[in-house]
Amino acid sequence: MARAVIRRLVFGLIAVAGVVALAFVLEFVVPGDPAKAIAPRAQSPAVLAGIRAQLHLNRPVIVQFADYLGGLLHGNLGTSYVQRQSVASLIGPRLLTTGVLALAGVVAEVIIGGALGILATLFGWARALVGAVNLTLLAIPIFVLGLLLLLVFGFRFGIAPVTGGAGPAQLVLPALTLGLIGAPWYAQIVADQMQDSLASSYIRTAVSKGLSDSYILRRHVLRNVLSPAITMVGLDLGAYLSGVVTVEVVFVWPGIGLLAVNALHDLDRPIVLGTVIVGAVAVVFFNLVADVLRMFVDPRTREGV
Amino acid sequence: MRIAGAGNAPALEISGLNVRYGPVHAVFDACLTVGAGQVVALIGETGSGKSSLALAAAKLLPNSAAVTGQVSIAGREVSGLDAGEFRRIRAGLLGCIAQDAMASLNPVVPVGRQVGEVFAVHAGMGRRQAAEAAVAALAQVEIHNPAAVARLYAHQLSGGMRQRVMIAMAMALSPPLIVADEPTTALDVSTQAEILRLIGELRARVRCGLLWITHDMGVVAELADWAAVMYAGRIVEVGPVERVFDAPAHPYTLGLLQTRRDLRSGPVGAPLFQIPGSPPGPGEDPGGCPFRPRCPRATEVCAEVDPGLEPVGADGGLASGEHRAACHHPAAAPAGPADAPAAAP
Amino acid sequence: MSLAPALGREAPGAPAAAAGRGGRARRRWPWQLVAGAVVLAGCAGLAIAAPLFGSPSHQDLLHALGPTGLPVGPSARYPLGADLLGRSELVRLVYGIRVSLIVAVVSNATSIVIGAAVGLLAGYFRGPVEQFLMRFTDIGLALPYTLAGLVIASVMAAGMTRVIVIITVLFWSYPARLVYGEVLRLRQRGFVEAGEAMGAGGLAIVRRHLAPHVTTMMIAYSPLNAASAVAFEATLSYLSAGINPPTASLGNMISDGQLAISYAPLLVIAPGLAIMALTLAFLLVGEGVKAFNPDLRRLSWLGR
Repeated sequence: MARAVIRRLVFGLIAVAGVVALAFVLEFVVPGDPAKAIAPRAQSPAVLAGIRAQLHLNRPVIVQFADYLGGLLHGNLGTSYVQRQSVASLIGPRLLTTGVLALAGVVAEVIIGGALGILATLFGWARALVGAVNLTLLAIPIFVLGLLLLLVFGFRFGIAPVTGGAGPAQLVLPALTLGLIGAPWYAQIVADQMQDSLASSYIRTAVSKGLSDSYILRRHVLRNVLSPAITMVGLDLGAYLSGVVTVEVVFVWPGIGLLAVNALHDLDRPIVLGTVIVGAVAVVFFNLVADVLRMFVDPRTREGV
Repeated sequence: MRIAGAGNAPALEISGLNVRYGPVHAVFDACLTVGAGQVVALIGETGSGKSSLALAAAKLLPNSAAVTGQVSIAGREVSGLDAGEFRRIRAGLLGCIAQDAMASLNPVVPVGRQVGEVFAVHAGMGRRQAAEAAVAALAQVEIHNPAAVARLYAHQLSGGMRQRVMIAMAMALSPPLIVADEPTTALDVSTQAEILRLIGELRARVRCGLLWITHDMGVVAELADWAAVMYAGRIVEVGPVERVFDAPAHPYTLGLLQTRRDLRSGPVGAPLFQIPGSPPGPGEDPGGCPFRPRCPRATEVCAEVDPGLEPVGADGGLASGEHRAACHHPAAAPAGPADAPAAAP
Repeated sequence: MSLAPALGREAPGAPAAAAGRGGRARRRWPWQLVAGAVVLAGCAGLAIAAPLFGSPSHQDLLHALGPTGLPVGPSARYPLGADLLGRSELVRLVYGIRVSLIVAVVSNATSIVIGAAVGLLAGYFRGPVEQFLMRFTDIGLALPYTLAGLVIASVMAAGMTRVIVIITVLFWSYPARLVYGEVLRLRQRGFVEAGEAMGAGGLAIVRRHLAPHVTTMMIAYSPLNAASAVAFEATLSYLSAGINPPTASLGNMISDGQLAISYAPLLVIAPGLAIMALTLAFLLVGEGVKAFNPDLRRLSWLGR
């Protein structure tokens, strides 16, 4: 089991390294003068040259890359052009904010999707309905759904807050949006796995042992659903985090996503790059967590078999 | 744990059992008895309805199957019970051993827990007690180091060990009836022999009735007291094993035994005996005796009337009523000279 | 399960009426395919006829904005009302649909061509080439693509080119992974060995043995990819990382309209429905194509 985990870790680090290299390329090699971005109104060439020297932009590219890497390892993601703060200090406090939203969204999508999948499996009349719901949810872009929910629950019925913020009341709609968008995937997995389980012989064995339907569902069927669901969370992370970014913008949730999008408007490239690196690391890390979790839940995925 | 009053009542009594899957009539009016402590082998090829009969008796068929008829286990009428009532008492009445142990065990739950469930849910044991009882049950089926094995998962065990686990689960509460659906078919020959021996011993110790479904006549000869032969959804012959094997009355049984004899002791190089033709497909019911197209003794009456099980006359020894066959021209009775054999279409 | 070649010659005996059993001519067209194609054709028609509707940047300050300066609602002159700058919502909608279609078609083609090429090369040549290419693909698959899109957006000027580049860069790894898997499967079935044994050179093998399978798969995958492209372009434009105003894109129309959502919800709802209609149409076409060959059921839609 340890061997598999280490292998995943190595691949993950390679992926992150790739992202870092790309980020460096974009930051330092692509045309666009950082000095002008920092001091847009400066006219004097001497001032601009001074800024460039401060940013070590006059050194050879290799040295800049080494500096960059060194800085990264120390948690230094560069300095914002616009806000005069280190990128890390801007991202740091928002990690938790985004994390809370992301967690709430995952819980929502697993629960909503799972409920839909279970409904569709156990009740014949629900199957077509759930299918239609799934198709609609798949076709709707996440920000349209978010705005729709905001319109209905925020403006029409006034039960949800319409201003930004990071409180529990403000968490509901964005988490719900993330949950609804992701639900069809989990509904599909849960329905498929449940059908496989219910048709399998070990359910017949369980019935022959006189176990009740609810016991069988709880202790036998749903356990078998966990493993593919966890796999899905892991595979899905990249797309899921993208959704989190968009949702933060729609609902003005002050997390990393909103930070990145605003930085884009302000042409503040270091922040954008910093967030991507953080995002890549998060994907790798949580993928690992998902893998380990899955090994706990499904003994067949442990090494050696 | 064992249902009170089981005593000497027959372990299983089936009468008038019919099983239909939609338009397909899989089991016709089956009547079968398994005495207390008796082993009855239910013999038939694939599609004969033997599994359907057993599953119907054990109430393990899906709701889409229509089952009618009477079923009693250990003297207790169960066919009339609704699902909930039966569920509560079934573990103490009836144990089931399936054919494919790998598919019949939950892959993500340790096997010890799967055995322990029976104790926890039906014998009211707490978790630790149930776990201990499970280990004891595994020891009963001759698993070495049962405590360690209890923690393993199905895919980590060999075929023979998995089958032992199934046996332990079925016999956990010492039920008066065990229904086993070809439990040794998937095993290699030596393991098969061990499992047979084990089942024989356990059964004798616990004194339960055993309905053993198989297509392997060798197993029947070794283990069974009684044999029932099924063809096209009907029981076509039933009786004590020695009588059925030595003096088969139904031409199908005769054919099966002949095939087996040729396989085992026929001259090398000689063609194997084969019953000509093939059994009717599901849903095919041309009327009359279903074996008629393949039967060397068939006459006109066979085309019109579906024979029921009738006692076959015996000369000496057992009471003749015990050996029955569904045939207009059972072997023990001489064929009438007036009935010319009809040509099979 | 391996993918059957085109025409479903080797498709397993699937019970579905539309499953391939030879005899293409007698198959019933699945309703998904028809419905989706009809909607797409309609949108294409609108897109081509867009100039007939008027100019999307024409501002009618006199009639489109009411006495308080707020845009008017649906009326004879402005069937979908006006937006905050006095432009006709309907006209912009039609132009937005046009943009979405163009982006979907072009970025779909580029991402699939690049992805399939990478997958083919990696699967055929194996060894270090394979490792190198697949590691790239893994990176592509792991990225949170909205964030990555923002990065690319930060170094390019707003417009259709930017959006197409972003989509291509972020989407090619999916078809690459699919094609790679398929090539490996085909290898396993001996196609490549057989070709080599017959003395065929690398290119010939690729062309005659691998390409047909891969092409079928990519044709089936295209509608799904296009659906994702429509959704992603809308998201990017919404975040101002794609096409920015005044050029009309369904995404940026929504971000503009968001400001007026409480009193003019149509400004958000209309483009929203248009995006959904396009996405759904592509999805249905994709489902319909899959019905021709049940082996393709594995292909799933990757978009958020």
